Amino acid sequence: MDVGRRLVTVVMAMLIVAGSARAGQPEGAELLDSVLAFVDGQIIMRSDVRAFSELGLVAPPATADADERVLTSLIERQLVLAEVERYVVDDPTAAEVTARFSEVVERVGGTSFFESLLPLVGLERSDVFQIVRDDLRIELYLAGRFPSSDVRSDLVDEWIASLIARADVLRVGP
Amino acid sequence: MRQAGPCRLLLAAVLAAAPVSAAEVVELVGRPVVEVQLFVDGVPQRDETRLGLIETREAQPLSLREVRESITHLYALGDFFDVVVSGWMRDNGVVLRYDLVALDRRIGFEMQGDLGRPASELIDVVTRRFGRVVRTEELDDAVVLLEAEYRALGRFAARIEPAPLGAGRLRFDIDQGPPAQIASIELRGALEDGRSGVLERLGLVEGGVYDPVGLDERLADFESEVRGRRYYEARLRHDAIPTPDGLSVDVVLDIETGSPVTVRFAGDPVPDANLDELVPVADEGSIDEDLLEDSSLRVEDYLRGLGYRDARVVHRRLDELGLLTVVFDVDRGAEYRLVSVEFEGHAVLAELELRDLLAMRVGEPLVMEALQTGGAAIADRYAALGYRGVVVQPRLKEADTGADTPAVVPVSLVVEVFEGAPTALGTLRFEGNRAFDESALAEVIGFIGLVPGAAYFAPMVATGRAALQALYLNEGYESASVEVQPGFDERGTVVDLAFVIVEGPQILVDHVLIVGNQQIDSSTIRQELAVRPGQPLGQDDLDQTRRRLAALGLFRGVDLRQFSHGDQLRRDVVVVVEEAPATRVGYGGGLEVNERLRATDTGVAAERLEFAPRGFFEIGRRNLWGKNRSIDLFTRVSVRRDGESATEMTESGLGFNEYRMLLNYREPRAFRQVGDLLVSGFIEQAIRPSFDLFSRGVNVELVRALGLTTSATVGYTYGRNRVTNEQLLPADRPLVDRLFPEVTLSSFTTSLVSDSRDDPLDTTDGELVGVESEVAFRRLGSEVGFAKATVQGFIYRELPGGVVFAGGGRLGLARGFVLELAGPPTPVFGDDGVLVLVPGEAVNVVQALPASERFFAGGDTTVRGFALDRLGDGLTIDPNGFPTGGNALMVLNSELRVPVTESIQVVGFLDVGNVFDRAANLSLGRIRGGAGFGIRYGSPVGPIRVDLGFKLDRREFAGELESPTALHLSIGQAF
Repeated sequence: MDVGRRLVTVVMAMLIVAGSARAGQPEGAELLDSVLAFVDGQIIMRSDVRAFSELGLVAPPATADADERVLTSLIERQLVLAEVERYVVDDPTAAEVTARFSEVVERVGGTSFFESLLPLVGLERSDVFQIVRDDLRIELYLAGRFPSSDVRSDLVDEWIASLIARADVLRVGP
Repeated sequence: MRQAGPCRLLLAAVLAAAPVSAAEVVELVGRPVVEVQLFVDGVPQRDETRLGLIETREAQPLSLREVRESITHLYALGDFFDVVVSGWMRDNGVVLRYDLVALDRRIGFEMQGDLGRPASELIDVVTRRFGRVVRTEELDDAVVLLEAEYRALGRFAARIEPAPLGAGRLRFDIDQGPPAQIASIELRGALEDGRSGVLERLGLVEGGVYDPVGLDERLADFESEVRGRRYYEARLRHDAIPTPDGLSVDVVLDIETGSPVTVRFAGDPVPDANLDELVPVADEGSIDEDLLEDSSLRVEDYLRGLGYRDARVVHRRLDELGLLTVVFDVDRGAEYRLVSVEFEGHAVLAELELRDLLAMRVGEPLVMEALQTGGAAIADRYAALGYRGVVVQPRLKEADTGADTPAVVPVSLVVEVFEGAPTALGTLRFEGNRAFDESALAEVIGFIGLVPGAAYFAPMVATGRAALQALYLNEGYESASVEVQPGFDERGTVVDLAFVIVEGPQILVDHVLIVGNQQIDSSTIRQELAVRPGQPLGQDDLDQTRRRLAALGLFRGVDLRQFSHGDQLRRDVVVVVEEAPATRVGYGGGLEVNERLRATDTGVAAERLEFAPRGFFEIGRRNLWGKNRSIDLFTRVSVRRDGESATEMTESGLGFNEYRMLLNYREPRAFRQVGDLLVSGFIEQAIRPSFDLFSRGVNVELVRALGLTTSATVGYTYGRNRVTNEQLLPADRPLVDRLFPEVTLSSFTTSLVSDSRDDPLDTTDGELVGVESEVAFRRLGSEVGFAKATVQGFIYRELPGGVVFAGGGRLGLARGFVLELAGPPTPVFGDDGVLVLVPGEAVNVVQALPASERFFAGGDTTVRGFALDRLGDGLTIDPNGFPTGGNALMVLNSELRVPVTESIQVVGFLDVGNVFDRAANLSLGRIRGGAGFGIRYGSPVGPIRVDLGFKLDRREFAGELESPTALHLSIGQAF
């Protein structure tokens, strides 16, 4: 995706977010951020949804409820990460983290655009590094717990569903 | 914030075609914040605590990252359901608005209608099952849940209708309906009480209201009662079948009694046994086979513990004529007794130590379990010395008694010890450590004895591992793990230990937030915090913070919560406090019982046991001005019975024996953390044997803690003391008392105290050591100058069997500064006719201490066996037997406290000492003593103490020998 189209996408995303949340705010006020969900004591904010979408960390579907789906992905990610924290999982190597980070930068359109995008989604480089590191830890954990097989995907989905059923998850209303 | 120029231009160009509002969102970022607004449920707030949690500051560029952090902090308060942040342009800057939605809106449903119980209870029931929001697909289950709640209360006709309110909220319309009526009662099973007796006992009547909760309680009571009649398997239950309309129920009572049970023992007797405890059929209410099997084994174990090594117990049931008898057939076999205990093969441990460890003596029954325990104790002792391969093998040899079935079998025990070779620690190395270098880790494990060359002892290695783990935990490495890999040499005499460490990430404190305080200033709380932003999140810091906050005495509850927001390596610590009431009131009463000296009609002192009711009242206020300052008023009075005492009406005319009023102001960490400041004003009247003392004044003290157990105090007291109702003979009164019946004293005090007692009221271990000095200078306003010092030390040790030895000593020395008074032109006599001042050029010298400052001894806390203040000899007790006090004091105490039951203790004591007229005259040859015994009862307010002391030598005063004993009653130990 070229830089120009990427920028338009970002702006349109912010339009959608701002426009949809304008109800209830003072006239002329733009919604900057709010809480979207509460997961076992941790919160997920609009800026998280925006960040993960724009950085390509979660692939948003091209549907009207894209934000809702990204939010669901983040909720599941949070629950899986909590499970990973309960066990001593080897950290990914620095090289692996750097490589994955570079993929993210490349995906969003290069370093310049990446650096200009970060303040708009409320993140710093170190935050993205941490996200990438956590994603790799999740992958390591899942690879160890669910060996590859034809039904691996189903097993993972089933396991995640069980985590959700046990967890205290609350989606905050619009 | 970094600006990417070309991209921003491109962004702006694209946005030129977009709606104005979207462009403002992007344009807001990086602009200076001109105002930050805070709203809770639409109401503007100026709460400094909450505003302090917002990271976006005025005059700083708007950062969405700071907006995210602010939301996290506000959410961590736990008071809000949602945090919404919006912004708009004003004056070329950004106005930010934080909207908080309060938690009570967090619950997505409400209850309405004829609920019959608090709505909050029903909401709790639903939230426990479904959480804070009930989804559409869960509505039916929620209704079923609520219906079950009402059925459990006997309301089968309850109607529950869910009604969506929009915006995700829901209302349950509830009509609890009438309680069901009892249509019929069916009784299944029988009891000797008969149907009517059972129904009456359970309060059941057809047509009555069905109350399932009450009925279950009465059934449980009835069941216990039936089991008490030896129907140990009785089961009483009920069921209710409602009619379709739910307005009435058919009650079915199921009664199963089983047969009455008798437990009997046959065969050999079971000596001195609590059979109900060994065979708990009645307690358990059961005679199932498992219980009977266990009971048989318990009886066998009991007999084997008495030396009946081959005891066998079997049980059988006899069911005759509807009566069930459980018979335990006991075959004790012979009793085995030790006639000799010897050890072989030992070289490292002496036989005396082996005997102590084995703990089996000649003449005692042979108990195999004790032999196993003793052998294990010996093996453990060797293992601790590095002999990990030790084998302890006992051999038993039965003596031939000549009888076929002897009643007692003598047994010789030989314990053979195969020591083997010891194992010593070789090298100690560490792997995986980055946060701490090897020397630091080696120091930690070296502190508990893990050093090269030391004996290898597996439990000690485990302790070392735990110590390293704790080290990491206290530095924020909460997922650190430490494993120990031992490497033994070929012979097993040297072991190298490798500590393999996986440190994991270090968690740091990001922010420390304080919530829940209303009156107490946050700064008061902050100065107690051991956790600090930027520092490792250590477990000991968290524990210390909790302890310090609890020690303030200002809070009902303290909770520390951790909260992270994305960054797994940094956490916010939220300190949640619940303040205790600021005002406290206390009151109470008691009875003062003491042996006191009273003047008889002839003026001679006589010891009398006096009872005086006593009461106290206290009111205090803390958290003054938001800080941990407090002010307290304490008053205490003792009431005198009419006609009992020969004491004149008191100076104040209040008619009380004694009273005390104390107004205290306390400020911890005054003068920039120098120490705790205490300012007191006091008025008190005390009845002493030789005089009454009325005092008033002010006292200022500064107390500084020098460690966990040591504190130092400096103070100043200014007061006026008046001595009245003097009992001493005029000629025996010290000149200072005659010249200064009312004296102003201005003195400085210092003290140093080290107190490591485990319990100040009832100490079993520890020491108390203190040194105190007091100096009064005439130049500072004191009418009489003196210097006084007191040293005291007490030691407490717990001995075997829970016995406590307590011992201590006190030494007091004082000296008055010389006060020279020029002689008047004519003699001056006191009111009593005694010459006070000598005329002419003679100099009158005053050097004694005033009465209020002199040392006295005798009574329940100094030397028992003597009435209050009555310890002395001819130089400190006047001819009528009243004490004059002195300039020196020595007291030595010793006591043995022996527990009898959990709350009763008996003591034996020996107290010696004396009061000396001058410090220079202190002599061990003048020591007097008292010995005796006492009893302590451990009440909730401390040990209630009764002591009876006997004088070791009785002196004669005013022609009468001192009484031989003195009775003392008080609360708390003597010392």
